[in-house]
Amino acid sequence: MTLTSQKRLRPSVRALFAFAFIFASVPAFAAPAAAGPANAASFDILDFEGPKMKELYYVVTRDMDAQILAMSTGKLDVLSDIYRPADVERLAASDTADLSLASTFHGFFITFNTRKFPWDQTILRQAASQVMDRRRWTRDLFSGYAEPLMGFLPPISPYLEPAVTVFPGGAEAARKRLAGAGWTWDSRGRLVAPDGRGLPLTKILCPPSSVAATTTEIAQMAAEALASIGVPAEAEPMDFQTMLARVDEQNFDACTNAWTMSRDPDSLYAFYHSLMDVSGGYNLSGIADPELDDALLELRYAPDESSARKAASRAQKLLSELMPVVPVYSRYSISAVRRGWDGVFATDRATADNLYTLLSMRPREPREPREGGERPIYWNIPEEIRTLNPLVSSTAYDWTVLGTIYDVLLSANPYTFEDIPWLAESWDIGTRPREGEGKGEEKKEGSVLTFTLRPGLKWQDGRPLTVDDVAFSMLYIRDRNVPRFYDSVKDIEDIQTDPETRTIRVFMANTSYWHLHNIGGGVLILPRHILEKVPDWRAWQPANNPHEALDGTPMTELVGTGPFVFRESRTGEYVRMTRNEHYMLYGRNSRNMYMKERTAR
Amino acid sequence: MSGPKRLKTKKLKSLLSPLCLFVLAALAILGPEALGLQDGPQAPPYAKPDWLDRSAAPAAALRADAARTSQTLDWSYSAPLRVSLTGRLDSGSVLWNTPESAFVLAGAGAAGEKRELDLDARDIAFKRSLGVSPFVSLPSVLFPAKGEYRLSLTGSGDVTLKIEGGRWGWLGTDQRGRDVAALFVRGIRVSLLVGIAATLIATLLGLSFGLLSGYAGGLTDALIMRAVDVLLSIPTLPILMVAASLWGKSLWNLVLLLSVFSWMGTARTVRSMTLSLRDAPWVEGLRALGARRFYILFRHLVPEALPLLLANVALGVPGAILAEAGLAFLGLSDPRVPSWGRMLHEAHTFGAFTNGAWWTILPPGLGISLICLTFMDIGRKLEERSDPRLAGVADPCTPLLGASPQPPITLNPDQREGTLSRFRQTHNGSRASGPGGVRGGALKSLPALCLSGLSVFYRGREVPAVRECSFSVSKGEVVGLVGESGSGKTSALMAIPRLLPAGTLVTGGILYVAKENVEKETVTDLAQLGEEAVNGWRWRRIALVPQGAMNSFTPHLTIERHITEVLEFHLRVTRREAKSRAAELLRTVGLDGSFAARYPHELSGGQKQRAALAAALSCNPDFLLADEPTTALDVITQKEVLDMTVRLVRERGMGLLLVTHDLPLAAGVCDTLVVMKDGAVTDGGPVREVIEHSEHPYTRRLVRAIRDMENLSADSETEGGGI
Amino acid sequence: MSAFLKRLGGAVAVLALVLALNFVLFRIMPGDPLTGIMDPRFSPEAKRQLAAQWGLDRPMSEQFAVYIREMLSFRFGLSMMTGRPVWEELRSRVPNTVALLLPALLLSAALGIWLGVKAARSRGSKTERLVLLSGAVSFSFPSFFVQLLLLLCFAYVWPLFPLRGTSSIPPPPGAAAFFDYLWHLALPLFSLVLMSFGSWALYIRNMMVKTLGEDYVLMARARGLPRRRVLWNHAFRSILPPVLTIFLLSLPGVVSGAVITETVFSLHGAGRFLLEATNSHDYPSAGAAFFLLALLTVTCNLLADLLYVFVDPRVRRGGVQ
Repeated sequence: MTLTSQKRLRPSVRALFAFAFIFASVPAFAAPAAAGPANAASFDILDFEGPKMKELYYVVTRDMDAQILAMSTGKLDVLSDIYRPADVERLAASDTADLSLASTFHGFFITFNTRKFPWDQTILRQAASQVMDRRRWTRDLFSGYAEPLMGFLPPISPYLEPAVTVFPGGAEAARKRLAGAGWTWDSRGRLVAPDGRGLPLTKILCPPSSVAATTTEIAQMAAEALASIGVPAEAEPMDFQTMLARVDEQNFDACTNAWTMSRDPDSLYAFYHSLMDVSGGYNLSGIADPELDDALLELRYAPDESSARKAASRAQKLLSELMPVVPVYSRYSISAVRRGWDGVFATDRATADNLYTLLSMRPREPREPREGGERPIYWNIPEEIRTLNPLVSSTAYDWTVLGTIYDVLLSANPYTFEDIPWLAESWDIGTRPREGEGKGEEKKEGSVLTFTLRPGLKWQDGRPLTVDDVAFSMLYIRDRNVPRFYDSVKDIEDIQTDPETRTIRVFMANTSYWHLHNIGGGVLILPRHILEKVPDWRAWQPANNPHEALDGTPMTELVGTGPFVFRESRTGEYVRMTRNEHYMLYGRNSRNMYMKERTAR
Repeated sequence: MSGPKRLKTKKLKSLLSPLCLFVLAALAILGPEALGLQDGPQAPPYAKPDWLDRSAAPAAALRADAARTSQTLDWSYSAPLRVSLTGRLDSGSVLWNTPESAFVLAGAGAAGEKRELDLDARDIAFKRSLGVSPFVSLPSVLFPAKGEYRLSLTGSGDVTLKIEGGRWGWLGTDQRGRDVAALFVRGIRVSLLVGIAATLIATLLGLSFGLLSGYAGGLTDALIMRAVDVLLSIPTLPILMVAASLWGKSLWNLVLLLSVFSWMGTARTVRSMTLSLRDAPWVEGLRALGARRFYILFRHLVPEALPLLLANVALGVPGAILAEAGLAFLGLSDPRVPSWGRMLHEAHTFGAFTNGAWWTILPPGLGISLICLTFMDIGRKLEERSDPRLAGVADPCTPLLGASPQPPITLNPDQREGTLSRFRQTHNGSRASGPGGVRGGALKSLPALCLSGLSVFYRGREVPAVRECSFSVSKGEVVGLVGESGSGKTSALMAIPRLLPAGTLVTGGILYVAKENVEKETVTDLAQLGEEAVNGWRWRRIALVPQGAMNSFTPHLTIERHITEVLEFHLRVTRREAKSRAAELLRTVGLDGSFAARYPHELSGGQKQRAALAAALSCNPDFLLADEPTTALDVITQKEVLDMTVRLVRERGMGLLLVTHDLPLAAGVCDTLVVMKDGAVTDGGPVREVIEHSEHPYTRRLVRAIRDMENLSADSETEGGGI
Repeated sequence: MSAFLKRLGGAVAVLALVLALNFVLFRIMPGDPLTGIMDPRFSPEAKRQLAAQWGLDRPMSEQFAVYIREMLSFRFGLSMMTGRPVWEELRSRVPNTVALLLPALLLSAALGIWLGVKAARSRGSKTERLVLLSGAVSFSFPSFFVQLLLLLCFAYVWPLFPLRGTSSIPPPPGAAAFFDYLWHLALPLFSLVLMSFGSWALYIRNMMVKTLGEDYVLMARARGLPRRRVLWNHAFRSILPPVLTIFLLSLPGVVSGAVITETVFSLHGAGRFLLEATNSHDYPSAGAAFFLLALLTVTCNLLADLLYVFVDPRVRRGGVQ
């Protein structure tokens, strides 16, 4: 929900995982004993039988040292997001855990305030990008566990445009370009603009080390780099909220910030479109270039993938010229799974702590029946669960738990990030002319999304999941303006369902390819028979309200379609979950069962 | 340890903390440059200190270029921490041969164009190009074992392989490769600065507010005290955070914040001191002299408060340093300011604990406690100077309340016999052999309490307070022990029930002679008994009426409780019975029933003296020792109390040893007189004899002094009963 | 009694002041609950919806009225961080903090008093020097440094104690759960006592040394009473009033000290909750936490005054105030 940070101490700062890929979307390096399909082409979720284990515990361990010690003494099975080099090397050296590394959607930028001198000078910003020694910083600060970032989208983004102008690195190249453009240096070596104005001291605002230990040092190094070409600069660490407030009031020269983007490039619109240069908006640099605005608008409302890809490339080319912010690095994600488990799944884009591992994990020995031994899985989360109300929860740790309870219609292929079926077995996006006149600059037509549900889906309490539930979920969220999903559902005009063919058609007010991911991948499918009875969705405590399954077993109102059913939560200690027998991938052989279901219809 | 040697180590120890502080201050001022230490990254992160692990690798470099295509290195260390390959590669590739295998570090570009090399063992891409898992530390793969290594260049170019070892500097390096020793020295300045500055400001604030509220009183006092309550009722840590976010995190904001939240304690102590001094006579006198309020405050009250404050400052500094360390640990202090708390925070955040890099953890941790210990030691010394009683006792001696105050001198049998014979001799009518020709009165009756050759040596003073004094008190006899103040009479009296301060040496015999049956006398020497045994005698056989009864009652116990407690303990009396006896005792000393439930502070001097007498008589002991019981009283009550005491003693047939410097008073009531001067018994005997016939010059001078007084009052009064 | 009523009035005034101060303090602190949200998926309009939900768009006076009503009715409203009632947040956290801090305070006070009295009784002996040294060392070590070392030694190298939290997972059934809870609190409790007995020992030793020099202690010995009774019923009992006052006044201060302990031992306590609520500008939670803490401090001050009168007869019977 908030700015990402290296340090996970403060949940309010922890990045919100992208919705498009409901479960941990960080890709991984070569998978150790991978279960299921080994390569990208033949990836099919039906190959995953599970969940194999009966019981799952999410354990709260806040102190990082305690986590590493717990992992090496066998008290934890899965530890995600290890970012301290010392911990990585210690776990790699000890033979207690297998590590997996993956690139992420994380991007760290130094943002300049382009609204006032001197950072309204484009060539100065380009020169700043040239002097940032990204390689040395990633080595010194992260001892290699971060990759230099040159572009404006994360390196693994499917829409990354490689052919962008890259300015030659190093202070000499930057000095040469500046001199060529008429910039001079005064006697004390300070840079002077072509029109004679000297440069004021640039203060690079950065959060304190309690938020992000390495950020303060990067700000200091950036200041030294700028000083090497005569730009007077210094880092100014301040309280995190104060910094955000000052940046929001546009009262700053430069600042550090980091985003966790998603597989969709539409976040570029939020970062660089002049319309988003409002209070509470994310266009911190205040860049307002008509051509860039046009490209971003085209990207935001692209009707289909090909036009979206074209617009994304054009936007990235323009951005690499304008350089409103200087990309610095993108952090790798590293997680560890204790040895002694089979079925751990990881790719170069998803570390082992993902849903597929959760489904296929089983103890290596003793060779018990496939049902898995008695020992539950202990999955670590670094901060306690704030709230289990899916409509309100904010931090990534809430979503780690809720991600195993609720599902969405589409998911993303862990190798290529293409859409893959989840609750919906097939989907289509098209456009249709709308009767009323379009609003503002949007086109006359609106997007139409059609999803066909997988047959035989059941809620965790045994009741069947129908298209009516899907429609209800989307309309319920739209009508109550639930802030968490507001952007995804605010443009829904109408929904038509056909229980026979299990299809849902969603009619949007405007055309955008990203509606498919926002709706298909972003909206949780909630049980209508429970949500109807909730008086006030804000104060709803599903984990505390008892609810009876079809077969009478007691459970809570936290009913979804995910692989694990919520049983008990002791705040600050653990969350206990047990296997969902009605899960779509659970059963002797889910592939045959699925085939049988299809033919039976 | 002999005395002088013990003194030397004591002096040395007392010098330790100021010396330590001086060294720290010097380091703080000079900074790390003085010791040749540089800031900023110097070596690979978490490199061990030099002296720690000899097998760790030193720094080295290998070069291969067109001229020498290969260079070998004999490696006898463990794997280095950092390896990097830089330079220019025109064609061919760079090979690295290890005793076990060979690696192609870098190959020329496919199209053969020149390649600028900048490879570091930490880059994930470099690890992947060598087919090594990204988590393994590449240097340990490139340097698997001791042996011969060769860097070779197949094509043309100029490459250098730089190796950085695992050892560096005095205290190794931290997570960013900075020299821990440099950070440590620089941290001293911040800790000292924050600690001292914050406490000084807090003390100044406390002093001024304390003086103001104490002296002004009324509304200002109430206002300041309410402000103190408000500040105390807000938790400091969250407020420091909120304030830090408002004004930023620079060092001086921190100092200001710390002092604003720590002056309340000082203010309270100074206020109570001012309250008590405000009406002190000499302050009243100053006001009478027309001194302005401002003058009184700063010329007189502040110096009065100084010793108190100095201790407060010294003890406040550790508190401030720990607060700064706490804030830094939570990451809330200015990251550019290298303080010890910051070092610990970074050690915790970057995993020094799990990495076992104890050299980044112990120095700051121990440093903080070293400074705190030094300041606390200095604080304690200052406290002791302002309140001597707190002073630690130099050499070990018997505990105040512990076993016998002085090691019992065991008399061997003949020594015992000698003491006994000397005692008998003095008491069979013949003149005492003691110095100054004491005329020992005949032993009137048994039991009797006899001092024989008693000497008292106070610790730290060479001259004995009491020198070889012998006299006796028998049952039913009132003995007056007379002498100027400082003549040792009180010491002699207090030696009997062994109530002298710890470490006092008492020699000689304190004999309790009792008649077992008709012919046999039993003698017990109290001086030889253990503390528990002497404690058995106290109050049951020998009771004491204290000198000034002002402060001799336990403040939180009622008068009655003082008596019932003793009755219940010594005579195993039930609570109800003890209560009635107490009431009866109080009546006998002229205090009605209402006094029983009163507390000591509710009684006047005379009433307290009477109550003390009642308490003393409660277990009807054989002997009563009265140490100038009436000095603090006015003449009339003095007479009343003394007469009552003697009357009650005679009624109960007890022996009374009355210590007084008032000869006429003693002469009036006592049977026997013993005169002491400078610790020795100079004269003694029945009252009449001593007054009329004693030739001892000192006694004569005392008697003459009384005569002059009588001549003065002769005409106004008829001849008194006594002298 | 009038003095006590005056103090009560003063206390209520202090509480009102702290209440208002908390409200103002958080509003003037830069940033608000929304500035923390920096996620492209969360557009400015969505933020405005959230602000409307939390009532941040209403005029300040109305917000103040709501704040005062919620605080005084102890129904503290919904926490912005978790959406749950603040009361429920506190109910799950405060027991852990109290279960840790109260015994820690009591134990360190008891240990401190026993050592202080022992040191004062045997002046100049080895025990006194030992107590003074251990007191100084315990006082001067930074808490987080010692706690991390303890965690490393006794939870990892010799795994006698658990590494985290207040209950093992899965918690043992029935009565064993209680002992499991104690077992989890043992190490943090030990570290807290280790850190705080020092100041008590030094303070009590100084007070006792002064008292043992008094005449009434000498007279108590003269009355032949046993050593233990003289030491405790007469000497220590007379310094009980100031000791009680210090104990009660140090009670609230300990809560802010809990933040570090709860971080190191991953305990689910109120100390961390206070820190997080302040950091993320969660007005209802932070307001409630500060208010309860101020209430605790004020009651402790009042209790200290009350007890002082009750315990020290000199004060009760209008003696020297």
